[in-house]
Amino acid sequence: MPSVIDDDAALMATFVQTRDRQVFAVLFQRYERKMINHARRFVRDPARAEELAQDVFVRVYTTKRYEPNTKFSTWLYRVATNLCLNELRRPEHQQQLSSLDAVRADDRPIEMVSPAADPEAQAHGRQMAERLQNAMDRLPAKQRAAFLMARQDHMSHEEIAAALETSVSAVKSLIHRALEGLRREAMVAITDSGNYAQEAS
Amino acid sequence: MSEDIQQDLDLLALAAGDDSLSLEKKAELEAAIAKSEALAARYAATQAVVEFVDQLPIQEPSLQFAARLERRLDAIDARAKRPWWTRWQSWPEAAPRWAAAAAVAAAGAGAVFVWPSPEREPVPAVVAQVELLEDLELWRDFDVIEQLDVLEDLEVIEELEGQEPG
Repeated sequence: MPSVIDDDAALMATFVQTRDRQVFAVLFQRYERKMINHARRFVRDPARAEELAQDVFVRVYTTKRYEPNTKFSTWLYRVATNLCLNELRRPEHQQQLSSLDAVRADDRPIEMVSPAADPEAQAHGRQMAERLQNAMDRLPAKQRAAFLMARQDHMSHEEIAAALETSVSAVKSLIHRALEGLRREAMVAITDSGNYAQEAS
Repeated sequence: MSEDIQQDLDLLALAAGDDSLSLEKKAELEAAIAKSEALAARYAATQAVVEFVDQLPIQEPSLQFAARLERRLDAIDARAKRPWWTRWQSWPEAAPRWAAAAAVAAAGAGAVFVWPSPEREPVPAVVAQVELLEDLELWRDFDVIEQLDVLEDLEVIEELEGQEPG
């Protein structure tokens, strides 16, 4: 066996050789949430995100050749990203997008201020969260994915670049543009709340 | 506002709570924020973004997620254990689009093979039909061809005596 990069890569190499379902189950348990949430960065529909995550594991299961020379997670994210980008290119997905309501059915409202804060501060917090959610939904899929992979999954720029099959400088640019887009909305919300506070006083 | 300090500020907001920035660097940035309203606004907005992202809900797998995957994997294993000819038979059902595309491609290839090319020997019946049409055209023009023989035998009139030009 070639030099193995990490434990999960070694598990995957073992699975490809032995087809042992228990080995596969270990990898599945470690990555099922991550894959569902990664798919969710590309599609709004939670059920579709689950289907995509299933497709990822079916791909893993049917893989005949695997070289454990990169981190398993990087390889897995690359498989998932390719599947998700293919999904976005499907005309059926475009139709779904136009028919889907922008509100995420399963998402609870994000509280950006403490429940103990005064009603005015809570209202501004809700407004900020709503603005940022809309801005997040409007971001191009790759920008959103790169930004959230960095922030939520704590992946390095190199790992994100490998997963998105792009360069490190392109990843930096994707993250920067995503942050700029979101920050612009946050600044508008802050300015609005400042103006409101001035008017109230 | 310089590009460097903006990037450092982003890093400060993004890396809040971890040790990616040295204490000196943090102190330097905090002093810069205190001096500039624009920097302070930018830093507050970045912090709001980070706070929002960190609260984004994590989607949990549904109760049937693992069971559905198990069923799909069982189906894959069952298919792999079947003899190859039964797999070949079920291929059009498994991939109807590919089956349709293959049928269209086969039909196209067949049509190209059967279609008469210009280099081919003409079919005898077609030759006979063409010859008949040529004969009919000859019959139609026969009078003209006869007159042509007569006209060719006429002498050329060179002048008309006692006639003045009009």
